[in-house]
Amino acid sequence: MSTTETDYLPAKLKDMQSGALLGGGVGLAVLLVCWFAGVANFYQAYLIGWLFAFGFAMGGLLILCIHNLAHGGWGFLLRRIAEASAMTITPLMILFLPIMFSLDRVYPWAIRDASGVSVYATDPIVGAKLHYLNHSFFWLRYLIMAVIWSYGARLFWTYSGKQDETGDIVWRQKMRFIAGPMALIYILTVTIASVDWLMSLEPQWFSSIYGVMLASGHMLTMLTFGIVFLCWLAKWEPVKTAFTLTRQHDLGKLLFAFVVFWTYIQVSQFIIYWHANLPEEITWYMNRWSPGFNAVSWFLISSQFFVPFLVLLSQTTKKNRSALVKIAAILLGIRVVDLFWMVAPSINMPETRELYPVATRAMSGSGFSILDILSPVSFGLLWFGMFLYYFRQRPILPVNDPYFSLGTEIKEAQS
Amino acid sequence: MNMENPLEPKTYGVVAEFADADSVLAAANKAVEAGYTVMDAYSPVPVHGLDAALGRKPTKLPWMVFAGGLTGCLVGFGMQVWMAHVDYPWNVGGRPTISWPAFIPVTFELTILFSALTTVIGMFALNGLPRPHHPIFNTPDFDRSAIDHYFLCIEAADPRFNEADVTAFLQELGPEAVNTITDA
Repeated sequence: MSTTETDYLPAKLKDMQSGALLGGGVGLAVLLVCWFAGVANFYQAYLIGWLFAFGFAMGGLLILCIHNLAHGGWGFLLRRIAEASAMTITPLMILFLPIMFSLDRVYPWAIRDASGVSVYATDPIVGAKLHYLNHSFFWLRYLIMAVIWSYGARLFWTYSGKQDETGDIVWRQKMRFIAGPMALIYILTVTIASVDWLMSLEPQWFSSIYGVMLASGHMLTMLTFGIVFLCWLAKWEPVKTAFTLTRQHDLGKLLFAFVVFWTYIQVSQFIIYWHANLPEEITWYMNRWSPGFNAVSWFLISSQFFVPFLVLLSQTTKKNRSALVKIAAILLGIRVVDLFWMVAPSINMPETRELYPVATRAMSGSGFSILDILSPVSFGLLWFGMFLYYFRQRPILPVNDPYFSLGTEIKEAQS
Repeated sequence: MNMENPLEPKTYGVVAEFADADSVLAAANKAVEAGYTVMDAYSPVPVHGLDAALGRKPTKLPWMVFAGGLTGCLVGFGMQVWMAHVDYPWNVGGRPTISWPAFIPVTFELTILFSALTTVIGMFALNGLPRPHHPIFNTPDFDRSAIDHYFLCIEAADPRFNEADVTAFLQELGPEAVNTITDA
């Protein structure tokens, strides 16, 4: 293994961290200027970009829960990546503040008249929801979720660090002990978050599977990123040794499973609403089937289900590293399209304008703007920089974990 | 001319018994090097690399399952189209007779059903199961292939098979025992 200056992994990671933070910081600055300048397209773009980064952090937390519960060999490779990723949730929750400070520009129910009462107070459906959807309770939920997620990620990070120092099995048991409750808390809080931050863009509409839809996206985000990043890290030791064909196949199978899972959730919601065809439910699909957005829908059906499904079906592709990296990278990019598809039609479509006339005047964004590209790219870079900040603090693999069977071999090879 | 007695047991192969997985793996590699092609190994646990050492080709099963799944998908969808559009058209809420979203669940289920059945039946067929008896069970001490011993059998079907040569060859590989077995 060559250790020349340009080829030295820690130095490379450090350079990448600075580059990502700089690029992401500039992008964020441009976005914030747009915010202060009152650009109407800012809110949608910022929400999409932020949710993209949020997917990495929450996907990390979810993978930590599953790995610590299930103890599979695949998890040891993803553990450090997931830990560092979950730690970015704290700065990310702070970065959500621009949305929190402009709720009435994003969410129709948040628009208030001069006396401070929601303009929807008389609407039979939204009016009844105002006990839940109001500024103070919305803020309280945001704060509670920020604390819970930050604390959960910090617990995994601390225990794992302690275990790395001591090699004591007790820290592994502690991680397993919190993983179960944390998995439960994850899905409950993500459901609340999805209702608050996404579903309430159309406050009349409702779906009970919506949180799981967002969670399947989190898992896809973290898995695709993990596969791409691991394949890149595999140019160097110790991942070179540890990332065996079997492990790669494992991750390929997981990716395949979650591609199918995302589709399953989407189809479950679609079939029920299509069958019932009720005016308050079907609007969500009418918006996504209107000219312009129907192209996005078709793109998602084909590129986030049919193509990856057929490609990943074969064992040959999952075991072919360059093929797996490509499909994972493409799926990671499609996450942004998926989020655009979830957010933009709710904000912009004629059906929404008809239902929420006041909101439309307040928001007045168009379907797509260049900010919708700038924002996910900036948030992606910014997240990657924050991720590397945490990732660089620890050894790449948890070799001191007593359950990590390859750990001893790697330690011997390095000594 | 001597007529062969059909009831006379025929030689099935020569079996070597090994005490550990490394020996059987090395033996398999040496047997391939020596030019033997028809052989099989029996082991209580999966031995990493043994498939490759024996020159096993990847199984055809995935393609059979894919074909089965595709058939299930087409049968499921086609059946519903035929029922709802051709055989008994029925107006359901003013929807077109071919309302594909309504057909997804059954199509999905039949795809899975056909894939699963093809997997099970195909696995049995490719393994030559069910089969009441196999000559390898005539090997003395063969019970230990399910406990702690590893067996390599060079079969009489091998074009280079010669009982004395194979026995001598296997003896050199450090086995616990070498036995010639018959098919009855």
